[in-house]
This record gives sequence, C-alpha cells and structure tokens, in this order.
Amino acid sequence: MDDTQKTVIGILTRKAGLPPGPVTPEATLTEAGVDSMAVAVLAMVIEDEYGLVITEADLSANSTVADLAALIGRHLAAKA
Amino acid sequence: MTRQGSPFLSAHAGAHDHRIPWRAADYPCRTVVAHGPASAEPLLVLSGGLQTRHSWGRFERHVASRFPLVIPDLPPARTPGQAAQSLSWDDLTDAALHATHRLRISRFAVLGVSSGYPIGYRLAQRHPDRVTRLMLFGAAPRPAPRLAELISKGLHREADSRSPCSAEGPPDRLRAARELVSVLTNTEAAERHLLIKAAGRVVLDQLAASADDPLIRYVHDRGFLLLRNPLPPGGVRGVPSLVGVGEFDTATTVADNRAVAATISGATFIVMKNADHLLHMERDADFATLVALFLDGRPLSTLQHCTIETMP
Repeated sequence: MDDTQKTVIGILTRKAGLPPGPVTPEATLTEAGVDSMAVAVLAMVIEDEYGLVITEADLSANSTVADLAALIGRHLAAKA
Repeated sequence: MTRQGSPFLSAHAGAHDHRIPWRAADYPCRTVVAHGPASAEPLLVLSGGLQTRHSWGRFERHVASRFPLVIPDLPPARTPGQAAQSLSWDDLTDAALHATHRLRISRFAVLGVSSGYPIGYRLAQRHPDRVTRLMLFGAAPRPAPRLAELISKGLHREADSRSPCSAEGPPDRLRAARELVSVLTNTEAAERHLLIKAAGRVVLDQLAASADDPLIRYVHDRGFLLLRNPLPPGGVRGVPSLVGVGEFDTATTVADNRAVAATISGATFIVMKNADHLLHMERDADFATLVALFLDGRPLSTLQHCTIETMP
C-alpha cells in the first residue's frame, strides 16, 4: 500500500466514519461503503490539508479505493 | 418486552422497493430486512423534507441486521400548479399508515425526523395500540422564524405567475440551495465540525443538482405544511417516546424539541453534543446506537456525548 492510499484510507476511516475493515485498496467504492458523506469529507480534507480542489463527482467516478488514491496522487504530483 | 415480527417482511429479506397504492396514485417504499426469522417489530422511518428512501444508507448498515426497516417516500404534499389539492398532515399520516397495511405490519416503531415528525407524532397519538415506540428528532411546534420566512418566500415565488420556477439556471439553483441549507443547518457550527459541514455539503450538492428551484421543491414537498400546525393538540400517551436534537440545531432548537417532548407523557429527551439538524448523517454511529438502545428498552445512560432528561 503506498502513502497516498494510506492517507485516503485514513481519511475515510478516521474522519468520515467508515468501518475500517472493508476499506482496502482493492475494494470498490461500494464495497468500501464510500457514500456521499464520505466523499464530501474526503473532498474537504484534501482541500484543507493539501490545497487540492477535486469535485465530489470526480472523486466518486473512481471504481476502487486504489483508483481514488491514484487520482489524488496525480493531482498532488501536478501541484508539486 | 414481547416483540412481534412481520412474516410478510421476513418473506422479503434483503432490500426491496414496493409500490404502495394510495388514493389515485402510488408511492415507493423501501424495505430492508435481514435474513432469518422475524424477531423484531419493524421500524417505520419517516424522512424529513427532500430526503428519500435512499437517504438512510449508513443507518441501514448499522441497524438492518437488528430490525426490519420500512422507509416510504411519501408523496409530496403539493403538486406544482395544483395548490388547491394540497395534502394535509392528516393525509400524509394516512399515507404512511397505508404502507403498514399494505405490507401487513400490525405493530411497528416509528422514527420521524424533521418534517417527518408531525406524521410520526400523529401516528402515535391516534394508534397507540399499533405504535410500539416513537422517536422524533428535529421536532418543533412551529418553524423557526428564519425558516418560516424562507417558506413564505418560496410560496411567493411559487405564486409568481411570471416565473413559476424562478431559479431557472444552475447559478440560480445553487444560490437558492445555499439559502435553504444556510437556514436548515448551523453554518457557524459547520466551520468547527467536519461532519456537520460535510452533511450540509451533501445536502447542498443534492439540491443544486435538482432540475427545479430547490426552494420551491422544498415548499412543495412538505415545507409549506410546517406553517400549518405541525404539532397537533392533545399530546401523546401510552407510547414510550424519545425526542432528540443536536445541540447546535438552529432549524429546530433544543427549546423547540423540549417543547414537543413536553407534550408526550413520560418522554425521554436527549441532546446530542457536537451535532446539528442532520443527526443521522453527522453522528451516524451514535444515532444508530441510540435508536437501537431505545428500541430494545435498554438504558441510554451508556451513551457518550449526550444529556438526557425524562419528561413528567
């Protein structure tokens, strides 16, 4: 698991309140329980802590937690 | 406590949508039922304005293994252009009761939130033989002044013949959605609490994505009825009841909710810390725990971050 995946999973489980068990890189967003609340929390945290503005629609469009982390990783790399 | 399940619901394990015929139309009703023998009375969930049967995903995950859920999408109380045919609180109460008949549920608990509360209250008041427990969250005898003003504004906007849906473009809809969310949620508390802010943002996104003016939708759905006796006279007796509110709720204040609880004989009144109006979204795990404890008749004193009173 890479650092961005760890960060995303940490936000989803510790800040968005998702039960940690199902939130794995391989899990689909549905399997991980990623709902509109979780996506909203993720969008706000990455904006506040990393200065990234990614819409909820773009975040929700990913298939898996790993895909979601990869999207955020690409935005972080572009910002660096 | 003797608990009575619903054989009909047990035969429909899993999540299902049913069509409930009512009067000249019908409406959808979601049921979520765990596999296995019927052991608990169903919980009838009466959502607030503009919420749907799909607004309870987290709550379902927390509690659906413990008791069956029945979540109707009651019809909107008013159809655009047909104000004269508006439904009343009594009509909506009849519609909700009809779902229980259709699903062959004899006894059930009721959870009513926000503008779902007047319906839940009336069910318990009129059918204490069928309602085993009543839980109300975000209940007020009358809408807060800012909300009443906004509802009146929506009614005026609706009546404007030049532009029946005046928030026509996405920027207008976003502005109207922001105005509504700013009244329904505590924006100051949202700046300090991530989950309160997230809940407001989810509602804002849903409203702004609507094809219609969000304020007119809110008024049509049920909002205008809040100006018409949401709290009926006569009180509730003989039904174990809980009224709860988030400490930061400005749409239905702590005092408002306490006033409703005071009309229910022996009601438990609970204030949840670090929470606003959208409790089931902001504090989903604690909210589900509270509901489950109350339905099981277990003490609520184990709950953290809450204050509890018992009404006379």
